Amino acid sequence: MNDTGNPDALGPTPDERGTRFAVYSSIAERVELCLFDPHGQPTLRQDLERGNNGTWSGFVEGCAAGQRYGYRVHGPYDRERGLRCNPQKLLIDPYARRLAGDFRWTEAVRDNSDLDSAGHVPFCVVTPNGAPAEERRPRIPWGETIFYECNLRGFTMLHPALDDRQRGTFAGMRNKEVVAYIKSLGVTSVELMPVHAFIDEHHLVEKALRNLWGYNSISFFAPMPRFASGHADVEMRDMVRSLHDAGLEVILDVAYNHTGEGGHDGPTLSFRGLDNLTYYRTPPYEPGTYVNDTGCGNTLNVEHPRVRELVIESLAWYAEVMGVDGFRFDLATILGRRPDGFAKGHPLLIDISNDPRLENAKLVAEPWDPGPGGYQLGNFPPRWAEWNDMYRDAVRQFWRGDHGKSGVLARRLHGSADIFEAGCRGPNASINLVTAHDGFTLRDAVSYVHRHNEANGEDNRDGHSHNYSCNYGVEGDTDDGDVLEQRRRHRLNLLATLLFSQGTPMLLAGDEFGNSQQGNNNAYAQDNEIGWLDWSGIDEDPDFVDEVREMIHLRRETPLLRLQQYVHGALERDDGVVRIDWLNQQGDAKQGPEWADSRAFTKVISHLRNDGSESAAAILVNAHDHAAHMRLTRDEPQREWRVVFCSADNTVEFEESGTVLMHGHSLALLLSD
Amino acid sequence: MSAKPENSTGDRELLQTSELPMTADAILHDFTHYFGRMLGRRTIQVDSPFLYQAVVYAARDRLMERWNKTRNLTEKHDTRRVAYLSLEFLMGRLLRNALLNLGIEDETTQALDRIGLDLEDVCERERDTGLGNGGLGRLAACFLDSCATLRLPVIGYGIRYQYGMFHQRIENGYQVEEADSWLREGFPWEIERIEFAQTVRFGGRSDVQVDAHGKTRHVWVDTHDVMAIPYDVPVPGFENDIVNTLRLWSAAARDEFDLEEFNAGSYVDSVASKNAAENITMVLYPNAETENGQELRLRQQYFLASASLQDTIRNWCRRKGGDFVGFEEKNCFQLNDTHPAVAVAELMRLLTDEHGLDWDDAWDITRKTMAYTNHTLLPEALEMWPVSMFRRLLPRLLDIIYEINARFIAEIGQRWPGDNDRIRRMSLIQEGPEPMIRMAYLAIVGSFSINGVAALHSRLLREGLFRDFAELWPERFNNKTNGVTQRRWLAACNPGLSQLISEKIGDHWKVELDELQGMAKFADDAEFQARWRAVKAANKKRLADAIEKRTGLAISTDMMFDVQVKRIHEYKRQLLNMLHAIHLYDRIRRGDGDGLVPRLILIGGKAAPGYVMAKAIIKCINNVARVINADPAMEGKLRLVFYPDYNVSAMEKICPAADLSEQISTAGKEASGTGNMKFMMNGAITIGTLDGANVEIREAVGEENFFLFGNTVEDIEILRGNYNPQAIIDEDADFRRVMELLQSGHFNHFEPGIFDAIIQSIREPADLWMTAADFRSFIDAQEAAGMAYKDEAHWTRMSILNTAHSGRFSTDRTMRDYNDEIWHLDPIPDA
Repeated sequence: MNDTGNPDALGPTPDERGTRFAVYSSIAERVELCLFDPHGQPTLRQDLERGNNGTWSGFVEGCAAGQRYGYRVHGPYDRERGLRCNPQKLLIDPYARRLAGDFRWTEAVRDNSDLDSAGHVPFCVVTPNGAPAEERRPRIPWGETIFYECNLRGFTMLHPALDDRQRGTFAGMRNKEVVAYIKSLGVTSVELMPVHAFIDEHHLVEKALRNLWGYNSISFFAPMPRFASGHADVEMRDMVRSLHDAGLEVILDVAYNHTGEGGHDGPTLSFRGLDNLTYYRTPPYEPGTYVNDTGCGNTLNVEHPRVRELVIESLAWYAEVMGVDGFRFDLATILGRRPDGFAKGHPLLIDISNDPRLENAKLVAEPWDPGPGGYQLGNFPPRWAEWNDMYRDAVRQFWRGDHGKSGVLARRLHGSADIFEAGCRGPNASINLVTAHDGFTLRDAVSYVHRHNEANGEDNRDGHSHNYSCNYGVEGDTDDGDVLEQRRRHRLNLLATLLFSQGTPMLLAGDEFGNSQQGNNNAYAQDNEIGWLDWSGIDEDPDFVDEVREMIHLRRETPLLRLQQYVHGALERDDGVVRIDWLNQQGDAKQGPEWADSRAFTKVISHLRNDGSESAAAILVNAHDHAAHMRLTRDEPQREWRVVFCSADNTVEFEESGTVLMHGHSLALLLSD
Repeated sequence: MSAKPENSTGDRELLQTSELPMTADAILHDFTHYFGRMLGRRTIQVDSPFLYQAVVYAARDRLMERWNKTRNLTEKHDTRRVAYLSLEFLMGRLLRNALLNLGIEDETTQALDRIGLDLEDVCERERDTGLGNGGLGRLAACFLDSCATLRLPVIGYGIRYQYGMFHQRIENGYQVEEADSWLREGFPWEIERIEFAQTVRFGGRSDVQVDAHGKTRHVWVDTHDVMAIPYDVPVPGFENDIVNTLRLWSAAARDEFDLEEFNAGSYVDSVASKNAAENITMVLYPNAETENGQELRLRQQYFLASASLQDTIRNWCRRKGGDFVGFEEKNCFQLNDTHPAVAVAELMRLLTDEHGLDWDDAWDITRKTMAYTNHTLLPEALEMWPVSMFRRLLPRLLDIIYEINARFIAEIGQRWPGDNDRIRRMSLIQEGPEPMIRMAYLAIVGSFSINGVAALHSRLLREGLFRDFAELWPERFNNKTNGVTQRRWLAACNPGLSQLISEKIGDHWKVELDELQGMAKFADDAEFQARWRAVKAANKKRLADAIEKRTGLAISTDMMFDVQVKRIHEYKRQLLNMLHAIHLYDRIRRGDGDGLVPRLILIGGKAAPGYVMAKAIIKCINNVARVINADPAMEGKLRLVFYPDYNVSAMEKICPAADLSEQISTAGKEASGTGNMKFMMNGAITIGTLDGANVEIREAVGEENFFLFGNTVEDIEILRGNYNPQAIIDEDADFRRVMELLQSGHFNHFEPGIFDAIIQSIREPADLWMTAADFRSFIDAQEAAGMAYKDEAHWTRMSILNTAHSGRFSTDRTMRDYNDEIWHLDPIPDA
């Protein structure tokens, strides 16, 4: 069992004499290495030698970095039994770090056709052995981290500072002004939606659409060629370096749950043709079909040790060589699903947690998938953080005015101990978010009640139907000043809640200046003005961006807003006692039944140091339609409160000592030291 | 995990300067001391258990010195050792064997004689240590005896059931079970080793946590913990000063009871949890077939596996610290049948979760230390446990089994790409509405050696039950034909024959059974034959007395003793034997019995309490026996006796007295059998099918000295599907008459219908055991045996040759095979 060979050696390994190629297939009877010249003309076909444990390898003298290649696998073809070898298909090396050439939807890419697929599918390219990225990493501590989720292409396509060549590319993302803008917001970690090479689904191409989001990988190593004018791997590495130079982390959204090869009639590009039953899960007794836990036609078989190895090596390469600082795992339940359901002790999760090369990587799970038992929020292992959709829903429902949501909002403000504490994790495990790529943008969440996905070409049937959104009287665009004012205030309420909550906040790029997708809550195929950020929003309301910057600044300057441990009541620490108090409008401890009906409360977080000095932060929340008198102190020592933020136009009014008047639908932050 | 060896400094051995003398004087002195001072008894009553106990203590003292010395030697030489994991050890009585092996049988006899006691009576006072059902458990006991004799460092690990194999009482022909409270008068052999107690966990859930080194680790939390307390029993080698250990685990509540619960006023609950813990080792499961799905059985299996592995690892860490390099060179685990198979997963858990090894290293160690012996050919006896039960009881083990399976399936995929049927067949998890874990497969996947217990059995395993695995790893499959220890099964149980043999060829056969070959040349020696017959007659007398004592029936020793004693099971076909008895009865009644040899048909054995058919067979035999034995026409011609409460000590009386040994199972069903070997060794001639070790017995003794009958495995394979028992009955007048007698209610006058199921089973075309198919050839073979018995000289010759050729069925040979081909142990040096 140990003699699986050095996994690093899979893929192409050039040295001074030539290149060693190695690929895994347990079912092949013969594997051909095919070399091509830069024009795509074949130059050499050479059989690889069968080694131990399904590894096929060979050495080509004089072959150097830059060489284009692919594999052809001869072996059984029996679709009913899940055997899909067809030597007419040129296959991508799963370990190739670079792809060249486009993918074209033709008959030839399917394995029930005898046409040669070469020329219709990307070539692999031999790359120099990557040295570990040596530049200094930002290494932002979890407690200071603010994620900024952005789609590289959507973010840069319309950015005014970029020229046409830079739009939609890694190069655009590292443009000085782009980087400076991100930095100016105060966010720390740029979370890029998938950059693994992907293809556009057939049904999109038929409708003249393209995949903007990229959750359709055909390689877990090579970065997306579309994102580069030259070599994607080189340009991506340069981008990472530039973001690091600005002190920003780079987090990659990675989709190790399915591949772009789709269902059983999808294209044969790599895994299917190499070793279908190793790479994909099939239902018991039906090897001719796929388990479809992803809703995307297939499910990667991470139960198989060689597939786990592929995932780990891919992660390690991105972390070590490309310099990536962390990963957000798309539909991560699949990574921990065993035959009898999800297990946080699944070996893949543990391997990822313990691989020394990933020691410093941030690990974030999207803790659900459409498969059985798919919703696993709170159940991932230590070290892992999770997208907290219960946070999103609670915050949106509360501010929308749903009844009886105060208590759950308080638990979310507190860091969702109810979800994460039992698994021995702290507040940082909760990735708080009010919006994400999936769903409405912030602006649309306060402008639309219903989704408007007609442009996706599926008759508005796709996308979420439970958006917990509100249009405040008019669906979509309006010039009604009152409505606009309410919407603006609620955008601030939502972002202020996000940034003042315990946990790790994630901001969706564009929400800081009111980006809209015209009510589209599933813009995965809108590689156009709908999905691209409209930067004119900044000029329309420059104050709003500044208010967001200020909130982020306040979070950074106020450690009490980002505690590293759950505090229930009081917590004694080396440096004093930290308390959290929940007050009602009268300034008394809020009692059980009050949570049900009152929509106003105050959260006071205080730190009494050993020397007797104290600092405190108070978050005042009023979701009533009417203004509310809220008393801050009753028994507590007098604090000198300063109002540092209020989402209502008018600032908070101190009425008498310790009592303030909060406007309806507003949130304020007060500090005292 | 403590990296520091716990014994690095400070331990001092309490040296005993002089060895205890082995003289009758010294033994009597010690006996008196124990009887009077320690046990505090004054008057000598022959049936007092304390006489026996005092003798044991005197003997145990002498074992103790050798025991400690053996431990010191193995430690000093850091010998590789084998842990033999078995859910059953059918030890029988220990005293006679201990005295024999210590070489103080005569001295003890003399010592007791001086105070007017007979050693035989004292030995009879010992209760059987009945921690097993049958062959498998008895084999384990024989193995330990041979290993100690061969100086092999092997430790037996088992369970100290509070209630062993039930006692059988026959009431109105029916089996009635009675609890075997063998510990009630104490078990003077054992030494409680509380200092080596282990904690075994159940329930809870599998979780992951970050350890002190920042590594994410699996943890098993919220468990209900049970203490495993070891009790050591000495296993002396034959006159070689070696004493090995049988370590039996007893379960105890982790804390006497939950004080918190107690304080909360819930005394009942707290005591209940204590009882639940102790229930684990309360009772031996009475057979293999009905235990599937019984949670307590899984608890027992895991309890044994976990405690024993932890004990081995504790011992390793004490001497070597936490470094497991070289562990596989010093340790080997032999799994006695599938019962302890969970040890594969448990070793993985201990090495990875508790001792921080990574998966590959741990798996490497596991696959180099585990070896698996399979004892069955019945697919239904291969254990499976519901996944849901594992998840509830052993959640962390389930994780590990899934992981082993994922890697294993990848390995199959590599070897047979796209062969999904094969993957489904070989997967450790059987799919279905209630997914099951195939424990035998777990044992195979985790072991470097897989063996069957007779040549035929091993071949059938490779070609049938485990065929897929044998194709994957042919090099792992091997055969180790079972055996029996001649020290108990000839020397001790048959002193007359033993003495006669030693007179002729010396007594080295006690350690080299092949030397019995030397007897062959006396096979035709008339004077020797006469002495041989005299010994047999004396043994038959002893058995006849025992039968009379138990059943009130007087038996003439002139009769041929035709014996079948073993567990009652359809495949062993006690039914066929009974049909023969009815046939003889019928012949004598119709006046066709003149040429027949007078015959005692003796049947004994226990039926699993839940095995309805087997219990019906017992009832049927008893009813037939009642009719036969009450019929004046049968007087002096035919006797049928069911011997109640058959156990090890009963066999010690039975096998020396048998003339004919019935080994008549359906071919392909008996893995080996060991009773057949005991009979052969004591000079009984076998009537048997080509099944299990019969094949090798016949090979050894020559076909002319064996009464063969019945269909072969291949015949039965062909017959299946075309089997028509009714036609067989119709065509055979004898058979027809037997069936008519049965159906007419002749044997159940006032109990109508009670044998309908038995009658139906004989007529059933789907009858797995094909009783009818072998009826005619069995009758014919019996006829031939009867004829042969009448020729005294010829029979005696056959009898001598059987004993002479039984050499290869010594467990000494079996153990040498295990050692040469699987274990590779060095014998414990002298100093």
